[in-house]
Amino acid sequence: MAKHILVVDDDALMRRSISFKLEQSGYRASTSGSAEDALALARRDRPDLILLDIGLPGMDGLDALRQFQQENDNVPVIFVTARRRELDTILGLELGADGYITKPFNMDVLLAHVKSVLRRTGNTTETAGRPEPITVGDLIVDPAAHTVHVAGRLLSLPAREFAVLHTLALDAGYVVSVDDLLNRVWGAEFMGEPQVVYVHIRWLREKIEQDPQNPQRLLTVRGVGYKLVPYEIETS
Amino acid sequence: MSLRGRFILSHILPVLLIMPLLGVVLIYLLETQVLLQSLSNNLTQQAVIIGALTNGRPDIWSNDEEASAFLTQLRNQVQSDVVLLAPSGDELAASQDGPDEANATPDIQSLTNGRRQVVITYQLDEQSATIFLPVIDVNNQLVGIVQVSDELQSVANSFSPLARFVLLVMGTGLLLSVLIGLLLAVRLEKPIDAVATAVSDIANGRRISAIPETGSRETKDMAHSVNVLAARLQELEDTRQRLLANMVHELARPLGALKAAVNVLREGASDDPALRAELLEGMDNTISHMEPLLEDLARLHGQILGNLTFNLQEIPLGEWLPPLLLPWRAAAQEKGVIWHSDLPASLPAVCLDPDRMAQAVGNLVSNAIKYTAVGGSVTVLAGESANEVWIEVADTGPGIDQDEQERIFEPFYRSNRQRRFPQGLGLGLTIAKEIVVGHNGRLTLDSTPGQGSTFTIYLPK
Repeated sequence: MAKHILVVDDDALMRRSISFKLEQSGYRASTSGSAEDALALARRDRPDLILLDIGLPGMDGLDALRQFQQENDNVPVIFVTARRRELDTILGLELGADGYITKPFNMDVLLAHVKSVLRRTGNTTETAGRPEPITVGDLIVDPAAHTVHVAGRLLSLPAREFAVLHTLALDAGYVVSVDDLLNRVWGAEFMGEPQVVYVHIRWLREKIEQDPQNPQRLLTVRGVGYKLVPYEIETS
Repeated sequence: MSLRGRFILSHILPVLLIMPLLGVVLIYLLETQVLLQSLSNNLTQQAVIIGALTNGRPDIWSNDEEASAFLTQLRNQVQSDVVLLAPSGDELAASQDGPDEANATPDIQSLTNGRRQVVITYQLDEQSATIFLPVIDVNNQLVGIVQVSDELQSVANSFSPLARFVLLVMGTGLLLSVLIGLLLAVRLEKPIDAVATAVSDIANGRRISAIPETGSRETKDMAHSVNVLAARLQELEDTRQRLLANMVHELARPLGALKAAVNVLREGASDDPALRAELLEGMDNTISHMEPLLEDLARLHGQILGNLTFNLQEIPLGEWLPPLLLPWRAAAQEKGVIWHSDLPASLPAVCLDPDRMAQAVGNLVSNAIKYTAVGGSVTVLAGESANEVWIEVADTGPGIDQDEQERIFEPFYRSNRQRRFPQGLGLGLTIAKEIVVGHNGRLTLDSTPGQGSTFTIYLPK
């Protein structure tokens, strides 16, 4: 299976170029414009490597690095940044990433870094961190097996629908906005209409709800987003 | 010669010079005024006693042998040299064998008149006193002369323990003054050394920690001045460092994105028309974003180095402000920041350079949007008082600490409350302030940390 690489950079042009190059080289690339989105995305779809910018809106790259290493069993991280370690006093002290590439760089150099870090860490990441199944009421989402059970009934879901459900299950009980769903499932490079989220929600409801017109599990929070709540069918 | 050496020398020199001089003078005074005086008094008494003993023995004065016998009798009682002289001045007999010094000669004339005579010899090799006492008979006739003399030597000898004591005191004094001089020199030397080391460290570009401000007032002042100077230099150096880091970052960011885009366009991305268009648009945007950077740098030259010229025009604020703020309103809404503005159309016309003032207002609004979190708000208000118009930009961002409110206008200054990795050069507020001040206005800041900041431009009507 293609290695999954997560690109985190607030510059759309940079994300687009890197992800194109990675996909052209046979990797699977996801993109995020902020550390928060990237963390949420990584929770659902564990990356094999993260290319991380340091200056990001919101949480900065150094804090994100620690979060990633905590939450994703020391997933390898390569900093891709315009900051120079010799000029930035903060950077000199706080590193702990597996690589460091300064902008501007040559794509082939980046690719060589990616390959060598993946080779070095490949064996450990293969076995590490098989995600646990998530239970929300009578709904069980198993990312490792890529299966969903509703009230004991096995469902087969296309990849995108599974990703949406998985994302909502990770934040079960909390509202996830349409923007966040787009960022975490479709990635920062998604250029289409946000309606695509609604379409997937509708398809999901047809599969997991008794009455798709009157959802009990996958609720709409008007003007905000969607949330997945626990629900048990009363077996009378 | 080191400071320490000089100091010790200056301490012991007076002692070395004055104490021997003082000693010589004191010894002279002691010998002439006290010792020789008491010696001569003593000798006079002896002479008087000897004179009295000769009474009733006139044969002494006529017979040498009688005189010698008399003196032999006296020898056990009198240690001084006693000589008996005939009225003519000729020696009759002497208690010492052989005449010693003949330096004292009696003045026969005054002795004849019954006056005793005291001769004090004070020379380097000899200090002595000689008494000539006339012996007068009942007929008031001079019958003989008693000469009693003694050297001070024997008296001085009795003073030698005292002299040793004086020398000891002098030596101790000398030693003490060396020690005190050394102590003072070391205490003076320490702060001066510290300052000298610090200054040479500064000259060599090493970072120094503040030197302690101790010692005398002058050294304290000097250390303080050096500390102030070092802090100022450090600040300049930090600013330079920050500017360099900022510049490198601001250039490397867009260059990195452009280079990456060109890379992939060359290697296949241009085959996909949609992707190619997207990349080209992104490149165009990136280049556009570099232009303000260039603008800031150009202003940096023009403004921070002085030389501001304004193209002043009568501008009706009420008409000028609203369209100026439209793009910022869009930027705020795009970020998810709530925008409020109240700009009365009745605002008066003010004489200003519209391009420059637009930049000043733009910098304030841009900052306000940048530092306000999603869901916060930015408020732009304008109004007039008796002799001023004001434009106020308020945000609900992190605010600025009290001690930073002055510094925030310095070029390249970055607030501690800011993110670890701020974007931009850190010139926006500096430039805004210079433009407003250049219009004879003022730019004020009112901020409560944690609540937000309000910048207000005041311009004279």
